[in-house]
Amino acid sequence: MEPGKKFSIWRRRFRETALSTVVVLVSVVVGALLVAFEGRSPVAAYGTIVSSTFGSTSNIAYTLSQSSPLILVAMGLVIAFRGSFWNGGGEGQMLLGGITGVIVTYSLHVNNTPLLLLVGFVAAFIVSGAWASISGILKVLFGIDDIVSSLLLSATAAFIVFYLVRVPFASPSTATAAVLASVNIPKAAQFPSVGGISGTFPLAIAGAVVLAWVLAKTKFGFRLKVLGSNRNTAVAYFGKGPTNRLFILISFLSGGFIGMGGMAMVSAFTGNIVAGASGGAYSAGGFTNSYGFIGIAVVFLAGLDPIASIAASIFFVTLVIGGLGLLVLMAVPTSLTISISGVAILFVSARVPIMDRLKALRRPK
Amino acid sequence: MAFDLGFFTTLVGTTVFLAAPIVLACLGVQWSELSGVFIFGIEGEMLLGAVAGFLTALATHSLPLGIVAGIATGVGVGILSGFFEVTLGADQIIFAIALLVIGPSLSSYLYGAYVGGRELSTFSTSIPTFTSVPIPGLSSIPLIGPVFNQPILVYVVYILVILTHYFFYHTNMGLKVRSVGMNPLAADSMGTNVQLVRYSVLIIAGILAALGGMLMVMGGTGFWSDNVTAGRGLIAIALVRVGNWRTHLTFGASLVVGLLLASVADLQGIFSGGGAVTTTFPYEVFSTLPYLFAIAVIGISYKWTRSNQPASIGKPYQRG
Repeated sequence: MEPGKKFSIWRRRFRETALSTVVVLVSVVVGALLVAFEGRSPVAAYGTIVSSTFGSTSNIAYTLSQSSPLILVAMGLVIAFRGSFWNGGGEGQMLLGGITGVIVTYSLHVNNTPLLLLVGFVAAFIVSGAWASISGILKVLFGIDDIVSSLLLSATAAFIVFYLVRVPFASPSTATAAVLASVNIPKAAQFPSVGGISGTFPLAIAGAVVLAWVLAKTKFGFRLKVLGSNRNTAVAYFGKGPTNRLFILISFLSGGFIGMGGMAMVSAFTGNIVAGASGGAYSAGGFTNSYGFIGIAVVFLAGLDPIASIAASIFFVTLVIGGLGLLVLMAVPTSLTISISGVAILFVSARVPIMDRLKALRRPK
Repeated sequence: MAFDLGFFTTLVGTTVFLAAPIVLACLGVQWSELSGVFIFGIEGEMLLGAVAGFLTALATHSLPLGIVAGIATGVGVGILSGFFEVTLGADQIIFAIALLVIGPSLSSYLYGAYVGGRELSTFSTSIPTFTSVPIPGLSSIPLIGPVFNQPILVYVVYILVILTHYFFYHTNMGLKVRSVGMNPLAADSMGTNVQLVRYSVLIIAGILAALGGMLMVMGGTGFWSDNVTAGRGLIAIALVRVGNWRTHLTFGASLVVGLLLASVADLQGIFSGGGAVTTTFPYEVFSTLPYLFAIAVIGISYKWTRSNQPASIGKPYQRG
């Protein structure tokens, strides 16, 4: 920082928000082009999206509720990317969290909602966290690129869940259908909702606020920041062993939050897990709404900020829920929404160089 | 099932055929990474090439036109990658994630947009597939005959493997490309145009990925299915690492995965009782084998004493 020049964090925030807005607008325009390719009116399509998500009070409540799994997933990804753990396996982790929630709440023959939910969320956190920490451990021990291993493990998780849904926890009604569904969670394990807004929404908001506080004010948050900005510095300051353990902890927490997103999905909305007949691709699709991938767009647009991630999550959930509305009303495939978030990630990848260029343009030579 | 000569001969043919898309993806990864650019998003590039080839072939009923469209898409994706990763200097991992997200979703969307809403009783959703062209003489050798009884594109793969190896390790130009991957600043000072090299290499990688994706869909049933590449691009990244960026080692590793995939298909056929979902045997475990194998082999490759990994991989280079 040059002396005499006051560092303005607000000015930087404004610039970053402006850039994110431009990125969102560009991706929405690309989405419009895709809809036009299909020979439909983009204006009508976006009109449908808005009216099916914010058209009425109950729609707004539903959209906000639906954003809670994505917010939880985004929290997991904020932790991961802040600590430079490239978690590409959010899909598999969310799926594992969901199936864990189903299995635990189904097997525990208790009729106590708080207990079931607590056990379900903790179990989902631990299982998904453990799964994600495999990538962290492999990176520390063998130097395996975490993005590659997490994606490969995501595909593996999809097959495991496919088996669990096919044999031990198959829904009695669809055992031989092409689309396999798991058993339903007991009624007591459904997350209660107040005034149409699911209880998972305040839970997710609380999670984001706590995470924002932890990242900004605690020693852990500081260490995360150091590790994320420069691994060598982290090793020099904290030592090799603690840095490695921190990295594994990050991978665990990241997977844990994403698993809680899966559990929130199960307990508040779906009630079970559906595995497609294909079941094999690295994208688990179906049950997760591709939140493992959309979450990446969310957190990068939010500049890895937990609170801003809430707003970005609501925006993308609007697209997802609106996309379902489009499918029903206009038969537009839902993968459109994921493409739009993909385009957003594409432009976000060049965020730092673009910001630098903008700065260079302004500075007189 | 009898484990006689015929069984093994079929297995050899299937192995080579299933390995071919992985080999193409591996070559793409190798081209890109030896010049210092990560290409973790190759799976997405494969899918985009596959869907372009498929839809064009579907619309024109012509396989060659489909291949041309797929290659053009590969070039387009390569130029896009070049613009972001070379000109702008974007974060290569985030860019890869973008491709990994766009590939499956956009291909699925384009297919759904083109085919959806049509009367399927009058509209065929299948394209002509590659037919095997046996090489006279060679294809009648016992056991390894099926290696020479493959679609033409698979023969092209054999040739590309040899050409790539020769280019990178036996020509001046290849050395220049590798020097860009090791130290772009030094290469630049020696008069190599780093930007041009990386652009060309990304375009070549895009074409190779598109060919791999098209081989998956046009060599298969001729019908589209979402995520038709089924993680082959991810496995290829792992194989290039275990092959230490050496073409012949990577090719060998791809054949092992091809064998694994062929056996998995057989085993799954046996244990799933012909595709019935009623069996309680966890035959899904076979499907996870290629992925677990890929993870395991990168772990082993970490023990290589003399890594051939390009020193400047993943770092954008800006002149001046």
